[in-house]
Amino acid sequence: MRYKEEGEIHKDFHLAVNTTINWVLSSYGIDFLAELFRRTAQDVYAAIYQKLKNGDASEFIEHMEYFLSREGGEFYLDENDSGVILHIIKCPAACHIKDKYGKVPEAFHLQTVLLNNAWSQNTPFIISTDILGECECQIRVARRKENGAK
Amino acid sequence: MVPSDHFVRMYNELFKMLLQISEDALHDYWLQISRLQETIIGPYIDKKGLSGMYEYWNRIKIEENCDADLKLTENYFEFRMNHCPSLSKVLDNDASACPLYCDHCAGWIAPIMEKKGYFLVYDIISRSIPKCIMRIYSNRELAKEFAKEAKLLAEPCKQLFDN
Repeated sequence: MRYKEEGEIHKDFHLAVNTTINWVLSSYGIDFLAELFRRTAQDVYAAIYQKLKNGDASEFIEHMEYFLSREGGEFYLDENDSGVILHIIKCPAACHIKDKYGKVPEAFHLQTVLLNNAWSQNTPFIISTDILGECECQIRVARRKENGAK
Repeated sequence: MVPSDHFVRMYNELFKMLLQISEDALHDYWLQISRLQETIIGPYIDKKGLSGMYEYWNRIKIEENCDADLKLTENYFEFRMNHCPSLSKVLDNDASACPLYCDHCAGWIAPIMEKKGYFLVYDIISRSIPKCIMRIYSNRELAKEFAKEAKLLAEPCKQLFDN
């Protein structure tokens, strides 16, 4: 895995992500925010994206598992014929926001939605995000169906 | 989720996007981060002044895995960064670093210190070496004296020399 940080964690960075999302949305709009997360997904996480383009989702899954575990998240993985489902029961980022502010703004989830959209672009995978609650979501990693396939 | 560990790499991408618009756009964003940070560090300063700053940045030193030395004197608080984890991550990155990356610290800290009646001196030293020295003074003249020794004084600190 390209980036594998260790040591202590400064969870207040999630507050800065929240502030950033709100500020970018109100100052520059959703397309600018989407471009920020596209750059993050495809340029910063170039190793994950390159592997996805090559049909390999292993580094994406490893990244998610590593950082969710590192930040004390609760989640489980399901694998079946249609792909991988990552069920995040307690997202550590959203839980930190809830602890600090009492609720999680809907826009906070855009980081996950837009990162996953960007990781799907021009790859054989569709990585979709279903927000199930303030701190809960499901990420599905499925191979695109070939043209004409049912 | 953007992991806490990786916020700074995302932050760096936003800096580059804003810098393409203008330096003012970048400064507007740092001001927004400053408002958030004021809600966190403000109570430390209000209660204990320079000693509160020491307390806040001592927590940051631990949580952000900084190799840094902190010093508290009657006149100033000093945070001497020997190895900055933030710039180190931005340099160890498959995307390029924003040329003004280091300036973001002074960009958010200076407005808070100005409001609270303190004087920030931020010596970036070099934008490509993860070392810097920050001193916050309670006396403007002492701050100005120290600022003269800086190798690369952060832009917001130059206000010290206005008038």
